[in-house]
Amino acid sequence: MFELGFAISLIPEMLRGLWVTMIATFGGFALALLVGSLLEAGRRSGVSALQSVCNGYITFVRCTPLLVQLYFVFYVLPAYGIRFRALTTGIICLGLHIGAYIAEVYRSGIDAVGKGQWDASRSLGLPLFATWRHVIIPQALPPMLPPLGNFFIGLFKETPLLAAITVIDVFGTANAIAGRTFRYNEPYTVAALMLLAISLLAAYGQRRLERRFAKAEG
Amino acid sequence: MNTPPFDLLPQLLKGAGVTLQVTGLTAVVALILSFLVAFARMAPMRLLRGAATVYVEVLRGTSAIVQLFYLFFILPAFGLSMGPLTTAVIGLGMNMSAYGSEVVRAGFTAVPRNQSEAAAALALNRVQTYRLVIIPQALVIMMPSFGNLLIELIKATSLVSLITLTELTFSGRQMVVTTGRSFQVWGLVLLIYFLMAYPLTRLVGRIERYAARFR
Amino acid sequence: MPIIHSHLHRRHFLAGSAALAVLGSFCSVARADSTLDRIKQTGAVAVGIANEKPYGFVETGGKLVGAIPDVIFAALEPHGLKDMKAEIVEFNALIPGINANRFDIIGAGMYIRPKRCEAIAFTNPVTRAGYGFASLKGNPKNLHSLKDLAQSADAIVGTQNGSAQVEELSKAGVPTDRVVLFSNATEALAGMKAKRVDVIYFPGLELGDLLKTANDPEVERVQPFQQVIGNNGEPEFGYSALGLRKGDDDLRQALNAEIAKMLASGRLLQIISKYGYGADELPTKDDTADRLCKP
Repeated sequence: MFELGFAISLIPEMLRGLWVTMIATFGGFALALLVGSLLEAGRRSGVSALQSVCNGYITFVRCTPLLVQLYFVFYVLPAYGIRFRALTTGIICLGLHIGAYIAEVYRSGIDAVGKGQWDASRSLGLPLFATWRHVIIPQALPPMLPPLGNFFIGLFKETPLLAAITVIDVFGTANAIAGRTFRYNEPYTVAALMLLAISLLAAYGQRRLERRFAKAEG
Repeated sequence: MNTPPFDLLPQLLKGAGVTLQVTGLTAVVALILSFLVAFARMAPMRLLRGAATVYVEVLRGTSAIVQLFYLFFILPAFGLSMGPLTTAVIGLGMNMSAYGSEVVRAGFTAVPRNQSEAAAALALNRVQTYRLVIIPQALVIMMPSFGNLLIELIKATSLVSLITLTELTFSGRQMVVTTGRSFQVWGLVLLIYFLMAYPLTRLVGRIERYAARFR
Repeated sequence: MPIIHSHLHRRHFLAGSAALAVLGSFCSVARADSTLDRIKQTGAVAVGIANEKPYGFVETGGKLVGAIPDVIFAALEPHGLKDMKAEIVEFNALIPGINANRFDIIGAGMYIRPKRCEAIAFTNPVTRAGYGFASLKGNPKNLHSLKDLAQSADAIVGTQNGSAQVEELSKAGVPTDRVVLFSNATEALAGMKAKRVDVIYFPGLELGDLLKTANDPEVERVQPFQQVIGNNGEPEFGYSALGLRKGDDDLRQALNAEIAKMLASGRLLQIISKYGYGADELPTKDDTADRLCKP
C-alpha cells in the first residue's frame, strides 16, 4: 500500500520541486503586491477611463478561474508573440490574479484611515505625495498586514495549479514520478505533507500577525 | 477570427451545464457539512472539537487540487472507488465546508449575547430562542460570506477538469485537441465563466447591503 | 455559548450516519462474477481511452472508434458484446483507473512495458510501431535521433507524461531538465509551436495523425529518423496491447485466442489499416505479452 522506503527515496527530487514552489510563491506574491498597488492607484487616479479599465480588470479576473487564465497565457499568447518560460508564466499569472484581490485590501486599508487625517494634512499644507508617504500609508499599512498574509497563504495553495502548464513544482514532480513509476500513494502523500507543513508554519505566522496588527473589533 | 466561433458553443455549453451541476451539488453538500463541522467545533466533547479542528485546519491548509487527486487516485487502492462526479462533489464539498464552517461559527458568535438574554426575559424557551431569535440573525450575518464562497466554488470547479470530469475547462481542453483553435476556445471559456460568476457577484453585493441593515 | 451544546449530540450522530449511508451508496460494490462473465451477460464493456488518434478516440458523433477499440469489438463480438462505452481519462490515469474498476479494458494503445506489467496485465500485442520526432519547419537544431538529443547541449524535447517515451529518453541519456512532460500530444505540439521545446517525441503513427489534424505548415515530421536500436541490434519497437486487470485471466485468454485468430486470418490487418497501420506494423507470432513483460 505505502512503502516508506520508496517514499523517503523520493524526498530529494520532491525538495527540488518544493524549491520551485517557493520561487513561484514569493515571486508571484511580490508581483501581486505591485499589481495591486498599480490597480488601486489607477482606481483613485480620477481619470475615469483608467478607473473603468482597472475596475473592469479586477472584476474580470475575480470572476474567472486561475486555471483557465494559466492555459490562456501559456498556450494562446505565444501565437501573438507573448511567450515566457513556464515558471515565469506561472509567476505572472499568479501575480496578475492575486493582485486583483490585493487591490481590494489596499482599498479598504486606505479607506479605513479616518477622513480627519486627510483634512489635517491639507490644513498643514502638506503636498499630496508627502501626505501619502508620511500620514496615510503608515497608518493604513498595519491593519492590512493580516489580510495580506492571508493572501500570501492563499497564493501558496494555488501553486499546484502551475503543474498544469508543465511547471515542475512539488505537485508537478509528484505527477512526473507517478507517471514514471505508476505508484501514486507515495509521491502525492509526500507532496501533500510538504505543502501541509509549510502551510501550518505560515498559518502560525499569520496568527501572530493578526494578534499584533489586526484592528480591535468594535 | 473572421467568423464568430459559434460552432464551438454546443460542446462548451454542455460543459458549462456540468459546471453548474457540480456547483449545485457541491454547494448543498458543503452547506450541510459546514453546519455539522461548525457544531462539532462548538460541542462540549473535547474529542469532537479536536477532530473538527483537525478537519478544518488540514482541509484549509492544503490545496483543493491535492485533496481531489488524493480522493481520485489514492483512495481506490483502499477499496473506495468513486466516479469523477462523486469524487468532485465530495472533495470540493469537504474543502469548501472547512471554510464554510468558519462562516457558520462567525455567524453564531456574532449574534450579540443580549439577544438570548432578552429572549429569556420574554420567557421564550430554548427552542423558540433559537428558531425565532438567534438562527435568523446568524443566517443574515452568514449570507454574504456564503455568497462569496459560492462564487469561489464556481471557479474551483475548474480544478475537477484535472480529474477528468467533463465540465467547462475539460471541454475546453478537449476542443483545443480536436480543433486546434486555442484562442477562440479559451476566450469563449473565460467569457462563459465570467457570465456565470458576474451576476452572482452583483447578487452578493445586494445581499451584503441588505444584511448591513440589520447590524 | 452553553445553550447549543447539549442539543447537538443526537442530531449530530443521526446526520452523520445518514451522510455515511449516502456515501456508501456511491461506492462500487465488490463484483462476484468475473469481468468476462459480466460482459457476456450484459453485452456491454467500458473501455478506458485517452481520446487520442489513432489508438482510441470518440468521433464527433459520439461513437468510440480507433485501432484498439475496433479490435476489442471484433474480438468480443463473438462472445456477446454489443455495446462499448468510452471512459475518457488522462493517459497516466489509465492504470490507476482500471485498477479502480472505472473501466474494464484499456483501449488507448498502451505499450507493453515491464514496469506496467507489474501493475496490470496485457493481452498479446496487436500492433508494433516505431517512434518519431516532429519539429518546427526546417528542423533548426538538426535532431534526427535520441542520440542527437542526448549529445546536444541545449535541445529540449517534449513528450507525454506516463508514456513509454519518458523511459526511452532517460535510457538514451537525455537529462530530465531537458524533457518537458505534457498531458497529451496536442499540448506538446502547442508547446513546440510556442517554442518551449525543440522537438516532440511520440509514436510514429500518432505523430502522423497529429500533424494531419494540425495541418500546419510551420511544423513537420522529422525525416530521416533513427530508431533506438535494442541490444539485439534490431530497432526497438513499441508493442501496443489491450490492458486488463491482473485478476481477469479468463478475459485475457479469450482475447488472446481471438487476437491470434485475427492475426492469422488477416482480419487484424484489415481492422488496423483503416487507421493508417500497414503490414509492417503487425506483431509476429513470437511477440507475446509474457516475453515483452520481461525486463
